[in-house]
Amino acid sequence: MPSRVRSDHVFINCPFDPGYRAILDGIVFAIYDLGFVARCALEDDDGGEIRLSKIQRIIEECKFGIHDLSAVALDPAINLPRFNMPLELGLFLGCKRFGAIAQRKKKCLILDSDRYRYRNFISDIAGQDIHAHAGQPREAIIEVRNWLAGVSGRRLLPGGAEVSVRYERFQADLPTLCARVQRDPANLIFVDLSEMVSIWLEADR
Amino acid sequence: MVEDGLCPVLLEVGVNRSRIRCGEELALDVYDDGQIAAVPVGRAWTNRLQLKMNSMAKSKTVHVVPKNGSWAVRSEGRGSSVHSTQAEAITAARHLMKDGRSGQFVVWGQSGRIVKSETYRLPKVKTPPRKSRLGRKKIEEAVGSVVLDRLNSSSLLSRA
Repeated sequence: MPSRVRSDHVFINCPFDPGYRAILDGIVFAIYDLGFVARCALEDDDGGEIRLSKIQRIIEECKFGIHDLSAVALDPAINLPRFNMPLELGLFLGCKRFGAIAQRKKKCLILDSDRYRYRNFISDIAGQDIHAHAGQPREAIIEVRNWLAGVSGRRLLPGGAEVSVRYERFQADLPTLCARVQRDPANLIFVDLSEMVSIWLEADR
Repeated sequence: MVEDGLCPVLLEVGVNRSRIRCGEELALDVYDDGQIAAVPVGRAWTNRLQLKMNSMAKSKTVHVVPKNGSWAVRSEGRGSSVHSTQAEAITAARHLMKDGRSGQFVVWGQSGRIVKSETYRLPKVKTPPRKSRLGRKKIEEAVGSVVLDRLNSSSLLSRA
């Protein structure tokens, strides 16, 4: 039974490394501040569902997808790059191309640290508009905001700079928030972060 | 930033952005939402320098909080007041929201959790589909305590 496509759900395909944490947090924050819902493979730790099936289900349910290729690089320990992000981008594009009518309306944002780096390792996506964040959460937030404003057709979305300033305020409150719920901010899991972001925005935008 | 006698020239139009050359070595990226970023001419726009046109968020939250048997209405830049009933405070908060700016007002209960909220010219914040194991109530109490501590420590509240 195909899943229903949610027009306010955004699939996030990105690295889950500590070094990428700030950008992921910024993207999640921006998505909720703009009135959307952030989804990713980390949201559900049900060991009974095969990971690939889980990713496929989430992709199917999301009209929008953000794919960050900035961590596609050679791992010096094993001399191989990680292919998960390009694989999930391929699944998303395949769903858009070969899926039912509702799936063909999917929109995707491809992010990287540099706008032209993709030419060296995934040139098949040449012609797509790659957006760069230079490894900075503020840049990623602005790119996400400008893209969602364009593809969603929604009006009255707050500006990228405004979202970024609010994100900085949230980051300033995060250590205290985590202390009150006995959590380490550096190891906050996706569902806890999402709920914290949504409640904080409701309380002090 | 435009030098005398130098006419701005539209260089390119991107998604939600236009680039205008305004000097020998400087261009400005003007975004639909009013952001402006300075870009050294000849450099890739991803290396742009970001100018802070406004260091403060444009939208504001107006808080209606219980205070010593009364109800206080608090927000930076939008005034403050004290009312004998919650209903009067909510009316005052709604009035503050009519200045055309985006924002929201939030009514806090005695429990330190939000009991009512309304948004103005801002998208509504959605609830995540997966529940945190911490429990929503615990997170709401933590957020409430942080926000109310900040309000209580501000000079606006102490002058009420």
